[in-house]
Amino acid sequence: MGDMLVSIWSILANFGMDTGDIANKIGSIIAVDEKGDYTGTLAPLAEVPLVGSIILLFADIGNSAGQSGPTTIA
Amino acid sequence: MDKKNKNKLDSQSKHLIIGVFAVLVLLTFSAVMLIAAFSFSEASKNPDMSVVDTQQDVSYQVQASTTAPSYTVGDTVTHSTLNNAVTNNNDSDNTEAPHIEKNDSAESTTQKVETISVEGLEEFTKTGDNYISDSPDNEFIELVVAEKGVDAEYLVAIYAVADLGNNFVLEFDDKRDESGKVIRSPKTLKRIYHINKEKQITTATGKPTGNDGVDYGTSIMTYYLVTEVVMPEYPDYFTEVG
Repeated sequence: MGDMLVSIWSILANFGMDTGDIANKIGSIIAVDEKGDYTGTLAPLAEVPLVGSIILLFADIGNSAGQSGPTTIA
Repeated sequence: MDKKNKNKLDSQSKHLIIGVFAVLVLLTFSAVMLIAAFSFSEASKNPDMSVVDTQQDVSYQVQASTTAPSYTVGDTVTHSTLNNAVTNNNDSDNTEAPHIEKNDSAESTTQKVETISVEGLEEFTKTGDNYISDSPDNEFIELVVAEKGVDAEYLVAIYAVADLGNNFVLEFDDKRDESGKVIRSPKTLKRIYHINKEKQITTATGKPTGNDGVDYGTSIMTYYLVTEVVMPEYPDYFTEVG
């Protein structure tokens, strides 16, 4: 099941991108709104094994990157 | 011994006991002060130690970056890393954004930051170089032509070398531009073929139907990663990207 995802994951890594870059690029299809809910085309897949983990990872990263000014970790 | 001498002896004993007790108190106090002074000296040499000793809640101000914070799967960021990011915040030489794992749960300086990892996926590190080809002679395009009966005109191969089974062929619709050339854009992407190391093919359409060997979740995730992330890396091959 996961072969295709594992492979595309490797292709992305070969570009020299980090997950922050990817989160920026797919921010329009998965994001976190001001209430903390996942939004976007991919949001309904958040519970799917593996796929959901990737989606939530990018959503959280994108959410962190989307903040203006310094990122506060409290 | 008469009563007068006995009272005198009792008085001398009391003074002796008080004296000994006072000396013990002084020695104990001196020892505590020495230990405290030593600890303070060591803590000053090691900032991490001073942070741990204070047990204070701290809000980390990570250096602002024009790009997204970098998350690398598999790495662990310690509090000393975070602490350095804070203390070096005004250092003009510190142009690299701190690499931080998931960090929304750092409640105190003694709590370890959670490591992000995606179970089932390998560490997000470069294992080779990506190549792209639309040549009919490309081995992966030839394979899709032979096995799926698709004309090579609609196909573009994106694959990694060394061959670890990370090979993809993109199939596009029969929509053409003014010059009659097949339009290769995210909107015209029809299927994504994945070819593993054993040359087995699985197919993703990005839709609930038409997938072969992959579930819908994998299909749509791969579809979006290809259209939003991979294709924009090759603006000479694809249109309407980036």
